[in-house]
Amino acid sequence: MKALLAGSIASCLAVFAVPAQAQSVPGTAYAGGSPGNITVSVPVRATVGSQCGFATGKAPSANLNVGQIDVANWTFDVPFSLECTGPSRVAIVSTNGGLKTAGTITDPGYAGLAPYDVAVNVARTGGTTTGNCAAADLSASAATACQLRGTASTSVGLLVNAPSFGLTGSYVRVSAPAYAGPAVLVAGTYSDTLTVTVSPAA
Amino acid sequence: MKKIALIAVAAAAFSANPAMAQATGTINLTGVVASKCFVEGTPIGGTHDFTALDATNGTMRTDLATDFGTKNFTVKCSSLNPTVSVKALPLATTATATAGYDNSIDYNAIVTVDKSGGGTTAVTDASTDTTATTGTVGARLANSTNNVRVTTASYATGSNTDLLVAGTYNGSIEITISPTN
Repeated sequence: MKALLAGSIASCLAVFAVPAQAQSVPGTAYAGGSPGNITVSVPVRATVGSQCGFATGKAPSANLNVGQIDVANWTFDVPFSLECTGPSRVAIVSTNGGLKTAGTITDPGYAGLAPYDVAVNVARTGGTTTGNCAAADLSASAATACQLRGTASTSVGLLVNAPSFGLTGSYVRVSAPAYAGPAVLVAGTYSDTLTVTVSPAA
Repeated sequence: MKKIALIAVAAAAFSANPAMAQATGTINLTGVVASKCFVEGTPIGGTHDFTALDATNGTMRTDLATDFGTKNFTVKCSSLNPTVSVKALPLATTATATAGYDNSIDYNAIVTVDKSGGGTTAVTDASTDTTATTGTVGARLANSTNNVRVTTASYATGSNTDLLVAGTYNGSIEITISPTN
């Protein structure tokens, strides 16, 4: 370990050497002589990565029963809280691209997929960042680009261009008016899953 | 080369709190669409007035089916294979009919529905009995305008030569389209 540390310091010297200081320091110290020691200055530089995630126990998580989707409007807010010390990105993937019933509906004029909207409101330092997409545009195979779609990464997702750490007021809002056609929704149970991710931004 | 490796070790020692990888939350949504049928536009109903039911010779007119024509309605159902029930009630008056006369006209009511994907299904009920006739569409009801049509046929008195007694004749056709569960 001692050898390793010595090696490390030697290596760091090789990397972070400050030429002016290196040249002013005599290269040899003599016991009982002059110079009796050598002083070296090792510049140290380190970075702290942007920490980013959901606050413990405050990731968006809910099981929502939205009721009869062809009868009444519905809106639900699912709160969450970020712990991001720098810019972040929030992204969402919809499993079905809408509320979907089982089976494949091929009869003309009928549908087994009901649309709804997804909006995100992120409380951040200095304000809020918002974004919204149709659930159809949040499926992995959606043809239409949407800023919220995908799995969050340094370059994918809604950009929250300021820290958001432990703030309240962030939520995912899902909503839809009562489905009114033109296709007729077939009778059945409809479901979808939204996967919400957050990542540090580049 | 060895030095390069050692540099990496040293650099790692200076790093702190590496960036957290992506974090995930999940929202599950569930909704329902009930089995139902509903009318769009003109409600199933209305009144058809034949005015005079009798011909100039006092017997029943023979063009009543044409007079009634076709009544169009639009019904939509969320369920597969809805049920259609029809009950025709005769055109009748309260005046008494003696031999050679009649105070009631029987007929058939026909409800024809369009099926999704093409084709039709017809349910016919005769006014001569009191029991409704029920059938299934055999497919989803077509999601189209005027997909339910009501016509009549086979108007008849007890005898072709019967004279219709004077009076106001009333009848009705009851139509029920029900979803399956």
